[in-house]
Amino acid sequence: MALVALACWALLAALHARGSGLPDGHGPDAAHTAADHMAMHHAATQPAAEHTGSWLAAQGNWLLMAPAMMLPSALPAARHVALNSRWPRRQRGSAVFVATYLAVWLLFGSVVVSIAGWAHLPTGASWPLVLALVVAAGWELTAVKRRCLRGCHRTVPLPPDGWKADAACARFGLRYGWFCFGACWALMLPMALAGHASLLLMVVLTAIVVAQEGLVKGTRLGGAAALVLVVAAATVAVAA
Amino acid sequence: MPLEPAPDRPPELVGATDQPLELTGDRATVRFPVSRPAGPLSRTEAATPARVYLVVEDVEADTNPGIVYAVFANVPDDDDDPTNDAHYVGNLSLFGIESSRDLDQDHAGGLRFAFDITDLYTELRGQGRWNEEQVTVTFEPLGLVPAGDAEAAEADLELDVAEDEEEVVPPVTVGRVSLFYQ
Repeated sequence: MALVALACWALLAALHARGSGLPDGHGPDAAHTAADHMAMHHAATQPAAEHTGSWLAAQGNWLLMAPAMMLPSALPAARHVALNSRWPRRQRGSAVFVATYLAVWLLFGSVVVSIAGWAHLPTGASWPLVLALVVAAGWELTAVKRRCLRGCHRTVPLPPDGWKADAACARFGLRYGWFCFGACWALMLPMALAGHASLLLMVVLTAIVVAQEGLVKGTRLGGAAALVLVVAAATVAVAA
Repeated sequence: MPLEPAPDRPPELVGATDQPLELTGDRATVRFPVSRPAGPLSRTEAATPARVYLVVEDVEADTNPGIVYAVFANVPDDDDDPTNDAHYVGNLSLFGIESSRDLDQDHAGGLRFAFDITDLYTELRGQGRWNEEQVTVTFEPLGLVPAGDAEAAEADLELDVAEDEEEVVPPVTVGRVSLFYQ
């Protein structure tokens, strides 16, 4: 699982360094790929409508971003599944868990990317990304966000054998994915709009997700995360 | 007798219940099959575990029942007194369990109790009384023992039990009972 996440990161970094990316319109051009610090500015200034590209390519980008950003935070839960399954079922149980968990995020990405394409966001406008970051900052401060984060730390009993074990792993993946979606949908929204053009933004958002879901007291990081997101929004707005 | 340090290999699940159990203030017993280890332990020369753990997982309730459950392993079916110290594993202390389902609390989540039963396993196995194919786990509710002389205490206890019988003990859900070899 960690290797899959690393592979996605490596592929995204390679696409970013080449300056081409998948032809979804979110990819940076070569002139802007020299340094990561330029990436956020670039993501802000890339017009969404200018490179509507193909819908499939946009989905392809999301297929890389979702595992890269969301798998690291799910590692402890996948490990829980492996350690609480019979030895021959360890990898199978983890695979079922991860597949259902990622399905939640792929569905979310598919919907958001489709809506973004359908909405034909204004060419050259950075306000969608700024708005998404502000929404994410506001969501960090809500009680629903904290409840969802606590829900991410809960487990379900895993029967040892048979279809019941598979069903329980799938149910755990869906439940974990649902709570994770509730906690992180606003954090993933900017990436759905910016695409992988902004590696720096990806790193920042992934760090927030991992810290909040991975740390025991992650629910207490909402204020700090909101501050970081506001700063990011301000940076994008100023750089635009 | 002090145990040897735990081996480096991870604990391996060898058996577990496949459906939740509800504790309602009465004695409750669960049985589940145990399989042979298939992981690193199976490749050791002796293939016998250095550590054995009985784990009671995902213990949840809406309200605290106000009682403690004692846990016993492999109590024989013909043993009418399950409070048999030879099979005693430990207690389920349910302090804070009322927060287990409340996502507004920092401590939301089922309680998990892991008991090291290596000594019990070694002793029963040495006596040929450890069932290699099935584990039986008994939960026995415990009440408070009143202070004072034995007769008065016993009378008080009987009175308490009679009173308690009229009360409904809030249910406690045990998500899974499992056995691990290491």
